[in-house]
Amino acid sequence: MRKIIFDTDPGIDDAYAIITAMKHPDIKVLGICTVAGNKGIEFTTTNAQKLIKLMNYDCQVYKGAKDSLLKVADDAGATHGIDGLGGVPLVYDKSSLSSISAVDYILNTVKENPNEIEIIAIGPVTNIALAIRKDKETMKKIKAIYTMGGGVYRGNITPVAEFNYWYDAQATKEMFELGVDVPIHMIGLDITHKSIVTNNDLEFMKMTGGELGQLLYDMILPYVEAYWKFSKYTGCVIHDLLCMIYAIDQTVCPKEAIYHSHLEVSTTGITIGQTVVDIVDSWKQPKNVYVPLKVDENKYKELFFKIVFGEEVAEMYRKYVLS
Amino acid sequence: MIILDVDPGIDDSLAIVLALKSKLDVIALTVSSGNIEVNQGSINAIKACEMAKKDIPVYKGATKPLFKEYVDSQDTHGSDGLSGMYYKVKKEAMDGAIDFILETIKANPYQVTIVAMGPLTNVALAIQKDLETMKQLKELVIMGGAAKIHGNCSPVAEYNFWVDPDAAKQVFEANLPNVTVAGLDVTYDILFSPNMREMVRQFGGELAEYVHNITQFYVDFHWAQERTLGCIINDPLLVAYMIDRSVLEAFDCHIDVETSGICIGESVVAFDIPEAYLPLYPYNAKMCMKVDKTKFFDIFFETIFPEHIEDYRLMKKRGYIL
Amino acid sequence: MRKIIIDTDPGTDDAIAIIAASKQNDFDILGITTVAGNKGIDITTSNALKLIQLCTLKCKVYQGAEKSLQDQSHLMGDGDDSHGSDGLGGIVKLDYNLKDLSDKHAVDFILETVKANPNEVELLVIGPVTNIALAIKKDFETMKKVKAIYSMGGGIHSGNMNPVCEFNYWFDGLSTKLMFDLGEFVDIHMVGLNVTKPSYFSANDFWFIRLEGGKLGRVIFDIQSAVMNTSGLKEEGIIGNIIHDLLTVMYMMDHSILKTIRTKVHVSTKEYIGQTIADISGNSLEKENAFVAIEVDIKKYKDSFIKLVFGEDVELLYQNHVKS
Repeated sequence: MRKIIFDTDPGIDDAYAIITAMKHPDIKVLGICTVAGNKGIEFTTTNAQKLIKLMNYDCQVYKGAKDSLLKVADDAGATHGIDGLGGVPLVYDKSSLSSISAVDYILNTVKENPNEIEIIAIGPVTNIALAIRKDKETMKKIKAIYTMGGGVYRGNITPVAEFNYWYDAQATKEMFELGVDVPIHMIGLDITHKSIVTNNDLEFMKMTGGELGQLLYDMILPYVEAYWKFSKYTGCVIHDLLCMIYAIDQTVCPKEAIYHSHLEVSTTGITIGQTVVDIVDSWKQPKNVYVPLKVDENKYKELFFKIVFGEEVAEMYRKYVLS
Repeated sequence: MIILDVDPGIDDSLAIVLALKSKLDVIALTVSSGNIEVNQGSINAIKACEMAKKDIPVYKGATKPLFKEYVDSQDTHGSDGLSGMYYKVKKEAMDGAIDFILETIKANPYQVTIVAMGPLTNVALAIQKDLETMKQLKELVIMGGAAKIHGNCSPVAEYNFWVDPDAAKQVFEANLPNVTVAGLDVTYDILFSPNMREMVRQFGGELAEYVHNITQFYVDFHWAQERTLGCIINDPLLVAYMIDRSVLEAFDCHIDVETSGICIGESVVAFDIPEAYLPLYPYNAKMCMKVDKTKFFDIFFETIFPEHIEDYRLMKKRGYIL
Repeated sequence: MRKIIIDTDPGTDDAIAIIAASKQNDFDILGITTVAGNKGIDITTSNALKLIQLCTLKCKVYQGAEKSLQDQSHLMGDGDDSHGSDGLGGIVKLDYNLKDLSDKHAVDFILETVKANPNEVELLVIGPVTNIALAIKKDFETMKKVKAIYSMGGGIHSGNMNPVCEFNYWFDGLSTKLMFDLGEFVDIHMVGLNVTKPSYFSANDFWFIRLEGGKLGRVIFDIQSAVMNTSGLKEEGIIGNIIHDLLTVMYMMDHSILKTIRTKVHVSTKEYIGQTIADISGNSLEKENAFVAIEVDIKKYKDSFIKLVFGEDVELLYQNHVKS
């Protein structure tokens, strides 16, 4: 069993990623650490608790940073709906919130399971940076970090910066300094925007996915409207889901297009939050990131349907949607 | 009326020759320190005029960037900026590029186009001195920046903007009318291949020899640095665009330039700006994102070597080039 | 203005076709006649009344045949919900006004109107053709003076009730045969499954219509979304839906959307009831009775529908951004 800790700010796309991990037979989600980002910390924490209840999963939520190290904004606004989960009514148990802080939880868990813990960081990475500041030696014993953020050739919150990293550029910089010791895989906008989940896909999920399919469909509608309005996509980009699927099966990205490179983060000026990735290795600096730049979008979506809804649905997806 | 603002430079020299051999009404060259410092650059500019058999004035401008420490590109262009050929020329350049630019515009409002193929120091200085006059430019066409592609001075920065980022920033902040930018997004495809070089050599004659000689260092550099066979010639693309607009396709955008930190010199380019943001980030330029490579080389060879049009077309037809 | 009567059993695809027809400037819709088919006559009639309100049509609804001449309705499954519980997908709540219902029978309305406008009236027949057959039985000579019939039904080597039969014609094979007998005197255009099936609207298309189509777009999405599952995925294996009747009306507006061939259509009234049999090789020596659609320009069809209903700007967005 792979041991996973989520560091997240749910968020619709976070919810997709978390549910997928919880559905995977070989993955144990040990805990969910929350951070402010898509919404304020109270919202993201309750949303994480709601997901645990929804999936009837055995783990707890660990509340993390309320502010980024370099505070630039409050949250991602209306993209994720008023409550951050598309307004879908969900309940939660108070008992699923631990009294341990996110940073301590991460450090304790890594200490107890050296070189076994994988972190799926799909929000701003403030908690990771704080944990590194507190105990870098322990953090070096993380098995791997899969992080959704950044981009090599594009941004979203600015022309060059992606939201998660822009939200806490300083923390991002500090996280990637760990990349020399711990493999960090960056799932950036270059490939998330090549993996559009179309409305055909979503309607298919609604038709074949039963109750959970209907719920995931209802949840994502604000996204669909936002992506049409701002990007003219007939569908949406579920960034964090791609990060999760890649963590599950790296072959969704062709091996030759995964670059092991040196990455720097801009922490000042108009480029704040931008990831500068030396793909061609002109700087000859130590390599601290794996960046996939191509993705097999059909394989990605098929895997999602297979993990969450089963082989039969995936088969139908191949037959009716992909062909 | 066109002023070429240059820092020759191998590809600048090719651009000058192309412009002067075309029907474009080039009235002067202004030079700044860029690929090579301004004095040598001016000599190289005069050499290019001589090769094109045109005697037009050459004015020296900025000797160094506004604030940033000056870094030339002798590593790419050779110690003299022209593959170490150290050409001797028959005349000297004049001083006063900035004043020349402003006076020419004043005398010919809305008629002067500047094609800026080096760092934007001269243009920025002219803006600093007299913004109102600069707003009476007909058009400003710039080689520089990179929107959605790797840089050549850092992963995100292109040389012309990187060498004087403050000048570039000031130029875009001035909000001049009709600014078009062609950066690495379109020039990366303009590869002057070994076959083309050999074809030019076979053409024979003084000009062919010159083109062949000055590109030698560039070819060696491209091979050593990035295992590219041939050399990318950025600047002539702008001149070709002046000759035939269909060579490039440009899109409205807001451009700003990073002036510090790890991303220094990066052009931050926003396309399709939502209406709500337009007051803050107005469209201040058009960025070229599509290029017709074949059309460019047609213009390039047929203008510079009109007596060899048939040879060129035959080589093209046989698939030796392009 | 073209004088048109719509004979229909709304029906989710009928609804979209009627919306499109109502937007066409040179269509003068004289009346809507109803027939049992997708649903029983009461439901199809009240749906027609709802569409009159939705499309602010000035004409009236004329209720027609309750039963087909060759009744097969007992063979339809009880739980047939391919058009939703109310025949319009079961989601949209639409109002209707009984003032829009005439007490004249559909057959009488058709005959009187043709008599009053000889060789001018075009019939858009997008349900089972029982009313047309009854009118022919009642007054063949008058029916010869219909200008043209555009009929959605049948197909060449294609079916949806069984491998060779399409619903409308299957529902009343005898009537269908009678209609095609009229084809020697009146131009009949048959738009069958062989062209409607490939020209389906995908979920992406419907989402576009929902996002850019305003209130009407939302209504169309809701009418279609419920049936995407039942008829789209389960019956056709597509993510989306075939709007058979819409193709018929779009073709009526612009003949270049479909390529047709003039040939003889035979209609089976035994065993495979309602099957259409036609030689489309172009070498048939039989006396022709119909124009049979054999090829469809799908892009033109969808583009022109979007343009007609939502305008040119929306069509441009559709062309630039939507991959079906």
